[in-house]
Amino acid sequence: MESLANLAYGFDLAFSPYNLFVAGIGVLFGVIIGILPGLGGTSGVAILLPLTFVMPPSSAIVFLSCIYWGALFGGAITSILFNIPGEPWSVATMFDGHPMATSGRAGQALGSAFVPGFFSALIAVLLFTFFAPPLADFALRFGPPENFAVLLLAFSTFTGLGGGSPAKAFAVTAIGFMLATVGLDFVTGRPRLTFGSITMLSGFSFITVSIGLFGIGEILYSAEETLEIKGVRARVGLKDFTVVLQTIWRNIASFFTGTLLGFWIGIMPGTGATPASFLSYGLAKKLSRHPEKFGTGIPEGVMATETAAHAAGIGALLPMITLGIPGSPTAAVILGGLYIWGLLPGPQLFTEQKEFVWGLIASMYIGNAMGVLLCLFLVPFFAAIMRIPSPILTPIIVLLSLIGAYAVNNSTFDIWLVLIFGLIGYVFKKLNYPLAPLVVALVLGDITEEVLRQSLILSNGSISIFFTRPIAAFFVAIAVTLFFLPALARFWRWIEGKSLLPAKG
Amino acid sequence: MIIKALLSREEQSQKPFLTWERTRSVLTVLVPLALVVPLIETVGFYLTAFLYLFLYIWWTGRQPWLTTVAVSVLFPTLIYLIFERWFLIPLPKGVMGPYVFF
Repeated sequence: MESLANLAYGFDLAFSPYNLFVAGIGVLFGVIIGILPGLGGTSGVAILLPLTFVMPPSSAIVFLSCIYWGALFGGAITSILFNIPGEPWSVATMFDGHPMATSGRAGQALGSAFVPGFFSALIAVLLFTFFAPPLADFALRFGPPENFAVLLLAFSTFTGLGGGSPAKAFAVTAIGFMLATVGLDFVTGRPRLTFGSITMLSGFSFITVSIGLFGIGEILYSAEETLEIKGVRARVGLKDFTVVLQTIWRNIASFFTGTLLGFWIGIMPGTGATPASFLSYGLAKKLSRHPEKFGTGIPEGVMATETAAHAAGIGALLPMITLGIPGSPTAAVILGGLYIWGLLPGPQLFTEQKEFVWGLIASMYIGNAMGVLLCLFLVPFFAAIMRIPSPILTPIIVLLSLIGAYAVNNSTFDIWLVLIFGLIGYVFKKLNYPLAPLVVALVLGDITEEVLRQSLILSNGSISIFFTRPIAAFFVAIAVTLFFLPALARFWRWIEGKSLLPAKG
Repeated sequence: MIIKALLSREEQSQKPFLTWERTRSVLTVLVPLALVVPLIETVGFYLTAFLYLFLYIWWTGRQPWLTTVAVSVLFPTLIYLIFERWFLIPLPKGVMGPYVFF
């Protein structure tokens, strides 16, 4: 088993004191980000990204991914104790978590979030360990046309599986591509859309855009609601722990469905932990023997959401590492980090940057273990963070966002951009435009254009190259189907509605 | 099903985009932010951060004086130590630059 040998090597790296320290800090920051309702995993990772400039890439990725794991754990604390979602993926955790907490079973509710979350993350990492290398091996044979087809597939999932309005997702993706074209044309070396300005020559940094859209946008959005912080105090005792283990054991089938569903949804580009958590909650309710009890405060409900969310978080990194396509918005920001550290994401990482890849995989095991331990023991401390009044917290988050944006290029122009994109993010959020496609399109815009132009150079400008090469044709076919899926579904519903209406009338 | 969807859409559109009260609370965040950005360019990050924290907490938060002063002094100091000293990333200092920091 080559994977096992590599994994042992990865653990060797991950257990170095520096990497352990970085992982610990990452998880701690992540949990705090997860707890704070105005600060999401995506913007949290983006804001803290400049801190990684002083680290070697193999530690930087450990740091960023550990923030992600921490945020996955932290969101549940706010949901359960305060009935406010700390993160979008813990909205469904509130449905059963908060009723449990108010009926005096807060410790049990927290346990049912952390422990199954940890185990599902563990299974997801195991799947990751054994699936990633063959997938990367397969992807190594890809030429530009295949890479373009895969990217096309990634973008069509936004419209096909995004859930919201396909037209809005499409529009937002297009905006992302437009922003990505700004700057130097890397083939001809000509400036594009810079309007003669030198600052525009370097293009729009995705960090600036994502801090603006997700960070400031989220702060403005949550400023609308004056949150009333009324929490339940709790700690997780040993007794809660045994109850939780029994719950997992009794619902082992539901545990595995949640994990596998989450992992699969995580792999799909542009989805991530949030839809995974909702879908898993719905599925668990449907498959349960007593669906009417869901929402009244049962541990299964909490477990279903959290297992899927954690597995999706891990799954989201699988296509990022093997294909260079992020599986979730947070993964998109981490992917952007790779470019900044001077690494080219994609299958060649597995052959050229063994240290980086296996260090990351090993740190997934360690980071999740740290996350569950921190959360189990430090719940009272973390809950206290929620009691910091928002007039103190808001300006601090704002300032951190501005610093984060500035530190990437040391340019004050980026601070203005954060302000502008913050406004855009706020308005888009109010109008139900998805923000993830924009960031992903911005991150992947350059590489998409590059492989498209390379393919067309290969084929002397003929588009047929995407249909004659079997692997490329396969991915293009799926992409086209996914793209038209919403239209097909609407058509299907229309037929169904026609045949049903007379019966209803 | 389509009728249902249309109905729910109608319900949605009846909700106002923004009520006055909500606009006000968004503006309390947005207006200071819009002032902070040009200030960072002109008078530098640290002074702006201090003023912003102090005024914002004092104006919207009605926190005890000690907390207000402590946060608005400690936070920029911490940022200075982390970025300027540890990571060696200089933050914008504007016109004050040559006189205050060296």
